[in-house]
Amino acid sequence: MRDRAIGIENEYAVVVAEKKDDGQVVFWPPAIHRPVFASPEFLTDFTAHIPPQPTNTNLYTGAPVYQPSIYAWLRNGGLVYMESAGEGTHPEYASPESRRIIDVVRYNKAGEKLICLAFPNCKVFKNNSAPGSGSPVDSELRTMVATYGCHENYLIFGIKDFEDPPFVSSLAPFLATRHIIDGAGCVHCDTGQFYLSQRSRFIETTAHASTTGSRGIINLRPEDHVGSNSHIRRLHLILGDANMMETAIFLKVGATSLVLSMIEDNCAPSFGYQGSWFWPDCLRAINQDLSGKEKLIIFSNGEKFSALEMQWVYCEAAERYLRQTNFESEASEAEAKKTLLIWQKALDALYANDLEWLVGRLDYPTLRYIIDGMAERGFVSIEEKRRIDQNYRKINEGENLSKRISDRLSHTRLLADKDITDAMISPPVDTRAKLRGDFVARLIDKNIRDKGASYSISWTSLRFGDVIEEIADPLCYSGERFKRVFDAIDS
Amino acid sequence: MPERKTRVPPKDKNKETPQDKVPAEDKGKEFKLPVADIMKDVEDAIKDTEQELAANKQSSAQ
Repeated sequence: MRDRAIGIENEYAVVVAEKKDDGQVVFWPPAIHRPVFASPEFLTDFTAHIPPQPTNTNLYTGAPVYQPSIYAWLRNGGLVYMESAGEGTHPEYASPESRRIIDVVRYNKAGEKLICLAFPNCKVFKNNSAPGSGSPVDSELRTMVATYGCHENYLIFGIKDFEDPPFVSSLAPFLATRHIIDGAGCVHCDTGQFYLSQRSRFIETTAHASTTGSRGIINLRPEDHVGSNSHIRRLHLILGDANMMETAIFLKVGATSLVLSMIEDNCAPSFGYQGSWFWPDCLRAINQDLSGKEKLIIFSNGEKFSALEMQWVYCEAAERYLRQTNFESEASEAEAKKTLLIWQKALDALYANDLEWLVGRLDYPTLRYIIDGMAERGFVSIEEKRRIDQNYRKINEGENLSKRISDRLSHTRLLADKDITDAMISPPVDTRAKLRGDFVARLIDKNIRDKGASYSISWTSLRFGDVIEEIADPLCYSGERFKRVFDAIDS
Repeated sequence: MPERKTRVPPKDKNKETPQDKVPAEDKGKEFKLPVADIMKDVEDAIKDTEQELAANKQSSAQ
């Protein structure tokens, strides 16, 4: 079992709080005609921000469009950028590549704090959906297409074709049932129905290259960010939810990484190639089964599985796999075994509906628990349920409901607050993000950005003046050759 | 088709799901969720949002 580089991208919804001359505060969502800008203080202190691109043209109308574009590389090696979608714009945060699963969690949570700093006059929600309140703000927001983007990226070894039936046959059944452990919960804004997952209803096919239509359980976009390395690829998954709880993020990423290792080593379960629609249909059906026990996966030979049973098949295969595989380090072994333990406990707790274990660890059981609890206190309308849903994902300091619940149930947390604040400015030490983060820090600390120096940063390269250094291998973080580009800054 | 699960769920084994890290004050007794505290947090969060939205409505009306 090999270490891999992993990262998470999260989309955020921001609502701008604007103080009027008469002292009243009004809220409005960002849109192309009314953009939101990242705070200059944030860009100065945390990023190697390069000035935005000039005016773009709307692809559909041909009209000129001002993009409130930022593409700001961070001290921690990650990236904050502004994405336009339909009439709305929203910020996104891509975490730096991490080798340890706990670092994936740490940098994902650090992203919440960074986005709040970047947009200090905003209410910030960890998804790109909209508060639903019936207010003028809400009606405007409801017109936006909210698809709750949270994307995962995994470095993959030795697999060239993500459409290859053996690969799909092993990965798709796991992913199609994964929301039973990592679903973030969702209250439908029109019906009030509670779903396991925010994202399931937007997944239409088993494998597809698109990220905005015909979304696949397995994304095929060939954007590897690994240079000319032919033995490695980046698997980009777009079916995941925007998780709030640390354990949910750990389990989602850790279990997926374990399954990918089993696939790479030919040890994964396989359920045969089932075509394009079978697994998306299962995914959407499972989305409505909050128990996870309904046998909604029905194969042509008559065999039936529930989501929990399917996850058990993979979890038990992982248990066998971990007994026989080798690890790159003791830390890798310890983390893989911890992932397995949490996976087993989660499945057991879901089966037994053990709320004492689930609440504070997994998201949809926590959200459902508080919605049911508030229903007993008279909060029963769709709007009230939606309000709870929104507040669960609100991340402003002091207004962060999921954080309050986590802190009350502190034994469920995997990280200390200081781990997270450190991750806002320090990159992971064991991936190429270390080089990128150090490069950004050097530019900031030497105050080079304001001196007209020419430099550029990407996932795979660093350039200062004429000196370009490739950082194509995500797991490579040290070496003599990288000194050149740092020396160029210092000279 | 892979072998069907062999795992016996804990309820069927009449065995509790283990807690991985029980707070010191709860050692030796079964952990119970602090329901009232959690629901108070939820109520406070909703109240804050209500106030924001009320201000917004008032301002928009003007």
